[in-house]
Amino acid sequence: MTGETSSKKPLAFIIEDEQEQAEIFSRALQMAEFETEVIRNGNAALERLAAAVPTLVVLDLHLPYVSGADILQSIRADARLADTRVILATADPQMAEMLQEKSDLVLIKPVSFYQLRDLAARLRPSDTVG
Amino acid sequence: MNNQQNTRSKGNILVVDDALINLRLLSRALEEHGYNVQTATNGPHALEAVQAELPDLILLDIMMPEMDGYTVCARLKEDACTRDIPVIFISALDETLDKVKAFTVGGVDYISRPFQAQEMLARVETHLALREMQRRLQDQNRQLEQEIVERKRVEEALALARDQALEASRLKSQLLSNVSHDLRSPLGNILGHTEMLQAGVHGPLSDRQQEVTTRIIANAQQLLGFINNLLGQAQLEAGRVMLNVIPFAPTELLKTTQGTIDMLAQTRGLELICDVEPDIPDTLYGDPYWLRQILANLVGNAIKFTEEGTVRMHIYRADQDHWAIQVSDTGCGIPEEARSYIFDAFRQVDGTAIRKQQAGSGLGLSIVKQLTALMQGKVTLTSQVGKGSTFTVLLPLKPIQEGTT
Repeated sequence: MTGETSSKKPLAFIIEDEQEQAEIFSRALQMAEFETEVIRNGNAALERLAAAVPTLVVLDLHLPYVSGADILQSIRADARLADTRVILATADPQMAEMLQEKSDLVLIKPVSFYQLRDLAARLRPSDTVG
Repeated sequence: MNNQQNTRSKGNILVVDDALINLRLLSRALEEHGYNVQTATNGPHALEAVQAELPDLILLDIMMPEMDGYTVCARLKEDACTRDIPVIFISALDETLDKVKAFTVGGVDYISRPFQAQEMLARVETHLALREMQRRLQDQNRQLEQEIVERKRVEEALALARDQALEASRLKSQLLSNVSHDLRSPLGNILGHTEMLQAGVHGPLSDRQQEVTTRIIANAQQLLGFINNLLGQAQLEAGRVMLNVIPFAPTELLKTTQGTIDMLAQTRGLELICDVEPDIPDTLYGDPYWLRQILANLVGNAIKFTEEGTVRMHIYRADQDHWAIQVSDTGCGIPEEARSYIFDAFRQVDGTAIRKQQAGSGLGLSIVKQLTALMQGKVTLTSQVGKGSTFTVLLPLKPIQEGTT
């Protein structure tokens, strides 16, 4: 993955505190041709979201410091991030259902690697695909 | 009643009078009619005699030196032990004022001297009978009070037992929920890593390695289904399943379920067919999470009981107001006698002759039934032993009210 090729790829944030999960999500998105960045806590996520505009965010709901629900709220309140797609990943179906409408997709953990790869590929902006 | 007990004493009477001649007259009359008689010639002696042995009734002279009858009576009424002994006053005095006082201090009756023996005896008998009835009422009251106390104690014990049972049930659900959650995370990672491996993330795989990853995934998926059922059962038991009815695509429902079941079917050498009839709308209403649980359980069940052939997931329009999920297999079928309990929770299925390889948690079909009921649907079963089984879940096309528990 050289800098030259990655600069053309759309950016995806993986906001997930569990390292192995983050790695699996990251690999799935890389296979779907995303440039990935793993963020491990809520505060760092808010900082990075203030600085960059990712195409896709895979968001875990249970995070240290700032909850995933709050991060989702702040993404939706930020006009800069109007085109950012959000995939929620949570083990809590109740929580997932509550936030269903604010997100583009909700995946109940455990999230299948294949499923995430295929869904992420579908969420790629059409101009970068062609 | 007393009349019938001539051989026995009709009661103990204490006669109190300072005039010996009166004492003798009264005693004789009473003894002749079957009473035990004790005597006292003054107030203090009378009180002592009462303490020594409680009489059933007291005949009490009013005018006595040292302590008059009113005082004696008043003392008796102060003591809880002697309070209920009926006291009949005897006096030569015949003034209204004194009669009133006699009643005021607690006497039950009044006999004027000179008296007629028959009248005196009649009054004694009447008051003994009254006293007996009073005693029975008091006994009954005491018994009732005792019963009330007992009942309250039982109620409290029951309430405590109920609270403890509820708490134990809550803890069990909580434990199930926690355990399921803690099992799902590492299992999710096992699945993720294996799928990554299979997808070639870490380099190309040989055919044999591909096959092994498929088996690992199939087993992990099976375990995950089991954990999901434990979690589902815990949530259903706790009444915490809230249906979140949203629009969804039936094709997606089949596809995601197929994704989790495919490897299992592959490892069992079974063909998995999915089809959605064209008359089904592109969008249906329901809770996709719990619908997937229904479908996964029915398909998982079908695979478990099918040695060879096909398992088919089928979505079609049942009638004007209903759509249906149908899962059919070419398995061993379900014998008639099993069909009555097959949807019951695992407890009831215990001890039935299910072959070991096919025994599972026994939760799957029970969860299917409970979830279907929550969705205001109906699950039916047709089966032919040796040919296969078909489960049909009938669901309303119109969205049902959200948040049904």
